[in-house]
Amino acid sequence: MLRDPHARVRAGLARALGYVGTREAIPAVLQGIEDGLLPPSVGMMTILRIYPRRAEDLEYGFRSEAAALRRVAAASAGILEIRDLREPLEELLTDADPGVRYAAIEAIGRLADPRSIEVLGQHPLLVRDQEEWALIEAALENCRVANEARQRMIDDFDEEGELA
Amino acid sequence: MTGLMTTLTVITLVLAVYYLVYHLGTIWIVMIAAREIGRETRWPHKFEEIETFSNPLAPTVSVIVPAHNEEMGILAAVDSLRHLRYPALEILVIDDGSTDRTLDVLMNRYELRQCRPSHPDDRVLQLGETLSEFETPDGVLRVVQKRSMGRRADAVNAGLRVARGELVCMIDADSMLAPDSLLRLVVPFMDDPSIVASGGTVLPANGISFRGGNPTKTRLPKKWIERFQVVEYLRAFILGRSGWARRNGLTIISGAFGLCRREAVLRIGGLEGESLAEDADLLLGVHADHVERAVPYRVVFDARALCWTEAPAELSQLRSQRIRWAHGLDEILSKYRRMLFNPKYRVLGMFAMPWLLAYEYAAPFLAIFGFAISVLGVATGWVALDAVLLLGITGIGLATIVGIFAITVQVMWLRLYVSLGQVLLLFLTSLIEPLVYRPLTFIWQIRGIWRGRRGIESQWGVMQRKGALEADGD
Repeated sequence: MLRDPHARVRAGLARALGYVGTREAIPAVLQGIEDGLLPPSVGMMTILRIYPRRAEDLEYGFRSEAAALRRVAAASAGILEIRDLREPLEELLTDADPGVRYAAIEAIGRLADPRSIEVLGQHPLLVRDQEEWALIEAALENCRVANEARQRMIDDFDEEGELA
Repeated sequence: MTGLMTTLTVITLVLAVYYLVYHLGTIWIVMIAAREIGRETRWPHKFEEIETFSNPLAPTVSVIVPAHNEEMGILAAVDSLRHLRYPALEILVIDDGSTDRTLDVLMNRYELRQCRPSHPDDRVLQLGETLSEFETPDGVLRVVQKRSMGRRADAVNAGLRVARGELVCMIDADSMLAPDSLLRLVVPFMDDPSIVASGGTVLPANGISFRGGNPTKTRLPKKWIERFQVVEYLRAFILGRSGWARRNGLTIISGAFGLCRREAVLRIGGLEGESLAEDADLLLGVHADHVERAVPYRVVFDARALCWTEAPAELSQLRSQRIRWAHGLDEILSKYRRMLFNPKYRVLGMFAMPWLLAYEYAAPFLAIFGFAISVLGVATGWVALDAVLLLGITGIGLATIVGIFAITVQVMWLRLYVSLGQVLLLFLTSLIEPLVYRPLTFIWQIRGIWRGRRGIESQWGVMQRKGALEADGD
């Protein structure tokens, strides 16, 4: 039914699928976005409502030829904090589409994984505009804060794993 | 049969066909509108709106508010925008060379600070130079101060050049949006990428008290001249525009409240700086651009999205407003005459534009001509008085029925003027309006068209605000 000729009906169905919350609907939603049958914003909201926790649910979106779908996949991964998608997100930092890059940077910032500091630190060399620069700085800050917190936790324990 | 009789017969037949088509056309539009309204009442709008509101990818909307000497109404307008229930908003007030305290009242209220000039999009031409830009600490409100060129269009263009949103909403500084209105207009844009423009209902705010953009006390205005406009706006927006939009034949989205895709507006270079009907000009430009590139598109209308505006309360103001509108109508019909009866433009070319020509532009001339012919016919004994009276009563009766239908729809759907006293008064207004108000507007319309034909340059009229839309003060 996501191929219904009426755009409004398709959008309504996608919203309803989001409320039903079944993971099995995700491939059809991603396909709908890729084929231009479903607006990316509506498709993404459906995915967020379904709340997938596994990387494989969104992986197809990262490999898509359609920039709109790559953007949705990146933004969803960040909002849902799917940590297994950190590496595919880092790969999108060099995407040709600025919307995809922005979504990937924001998502990496949300994941706040200290392992992304190095990649983000190298990325400013490729930055093309001020907006992207600001996003990178914010994401880096998140990752650094997370790293410091992690470091403090490590310091709080001694070599035997006991609280110091 | 004498020559006079033959002439009278031909003219009477032409007029009879003209009015028959008008009546049938009006019934057709009302039926489409009624079907559309019935359909919309069953659609789960609340669900869509909640989903849109919580959507992280909801498009940013840049609301452009051109303001020229608007110190009386600007705070109410901006307050209503800040109360809008929409997650991604940018408010752009364009202070178009105000000589009153418009900028001062904004500075005092919102702690504006000067900011770096935005990077403008040069696809839109701006004639009056930008002097400075200010913004609030949260960046939601920006004020662009520019030199005035005496045209609203130039101020809107200044806003279009620096707007960052995917969608742009153009409103008047004397307008107030209902809190859910923008959300309601945005939903179709999110669902259907082919939608390029959308309009909402504009109603006179005269007599109504507001808080946070919501009417708290809905009274009918005291003056008949204002009440006539209430009926006129209800009929035009609830029925006329709903009907035409259903067939993608909308020729105008009010300059007081309309939402467009920014890219669609930038593609045609923004608003025509010299136009007096820049809202209709913009929409017809967008129609033409899409039809000529053979790109599928739609222009929609949502009667539930409400905008309140201060309608002229004095006859002199109303007269200059209507003369200007008629002059603008003359301009756009002349500019877009290629659309008339052009099947390439489908409903717009074959029905909506000819309707505009025959029943908006030519109506005052034919009404006066028809009246004169009727008097002549009765005087020469060629036409029976009963027949003339029957024709007149049919016309007035239909106008009244359409008005009553619009009033009933607002009672059942929009729930604005709902008390028995208000409804009866509106019915009475609807009954008197074709006899008193419409002939007046016809006379002004003829003056406006005359000015257009003579190429007389018109300026934007200055409307003395009564402050019908007061700021909340909170």
